[in-house]
Amino acid sequence: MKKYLFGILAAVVAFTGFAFKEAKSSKRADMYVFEFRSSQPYTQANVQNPSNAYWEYKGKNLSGCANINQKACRVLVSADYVDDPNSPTELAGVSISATQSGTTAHVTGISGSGNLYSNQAD
Amino acid sequence: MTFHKTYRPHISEGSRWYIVAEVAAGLLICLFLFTGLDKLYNYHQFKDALGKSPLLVDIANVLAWSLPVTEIMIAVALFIPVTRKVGFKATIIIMLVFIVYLSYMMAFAPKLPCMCAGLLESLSWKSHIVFNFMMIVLAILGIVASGKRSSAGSRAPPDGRGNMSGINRIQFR
Repeated sequence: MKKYLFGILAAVVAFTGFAFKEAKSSKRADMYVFEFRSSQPYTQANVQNPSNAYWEYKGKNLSGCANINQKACRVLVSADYVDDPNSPTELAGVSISATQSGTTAHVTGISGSGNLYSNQAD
Repeated sequence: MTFHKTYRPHISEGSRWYIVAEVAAGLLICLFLFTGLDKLYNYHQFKDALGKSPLLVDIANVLAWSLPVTEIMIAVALFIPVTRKVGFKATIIIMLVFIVYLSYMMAFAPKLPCMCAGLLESLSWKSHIVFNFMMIVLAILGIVASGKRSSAGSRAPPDGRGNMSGINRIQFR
C-alpha cells in the first residue's frame, strides 16, 4: 500500500482540484456563442444583422476566435440576449456594429453589458 | 552532566531517489489526471477549440477524446510502480509533441486561445512551452531516480523482514 501512497495523494489532489474548478465555473453565468455563417458574404450589412440567417448558434461557453480584426467570427452573449435560453437559435435585442475593410467586415462593437466579440483572420 | 543524544533522521541514498521518483510521478499524475478529466468533462468546448486550430481542424473529432484518454492512461502508468518508467517516457514524448504544436501556434496563430486546463489556460504560449520543458525535466528526473533507486536498493541489505522497499530503509541514528 505504501508504494501507492504518493500516487493516491496525487489522484486525490487532482480530483479535488478538478471538482473545485468545476464548482467555480458552474457558478459563472453561461455565455451563448454565435458564429457568423461562413457561407454568407462578410459585408458590413450582413455582419450587423443579428438574424439567424447570418449568426448561427454554436453552443454555450465556447472560446472566442483568434481576434484578428479582419473578418467577423463569434459573439458571446448572456441569456438576456438570446431568443430562448433553453433552446437558443437566434440573437435577440442585441445590436452589432461592424467596419468594412476591403472585401470583408469585422465586428467593432456589441451592445449589452458583458457581451463579447472576437474576429478572425481573412 | 547529562548528555542528550539527538536523533537525526538519516535517509539512505536509495530512499532519497525513491522519494524523488515518487514526487515526480505524483506531480505528473496530478497534472495528467486534472487536464485529462477537464478535457473530457468539457468535451464540446475542447472539440470546438481544436476545430479552431488551423493545424488540427481535420483531426479535431478524434483528438478531442483520444488526447484526454491518453493523458489519463499516462497518469495510470505513472501510478503503477511497474509501469512508471513507461509513464515517464510517455510524458516526455507527449510534452515534446505539445511543444512542437505550441511552437507552430506561436509562429502562425499566436492570438488563438489555448484550450488547456486549469491554471494552464491563463498561460501564454511562451510560458506554456517553458512549463512543458519543466515537465520534461521532471520526467527525466523521474527516470533517473527510478534507475538510481533500483541500483542503490540492490546494494542495500534487506531488513529483518526481507523488505527492500525504499521507504522502509529510512533509518534513524
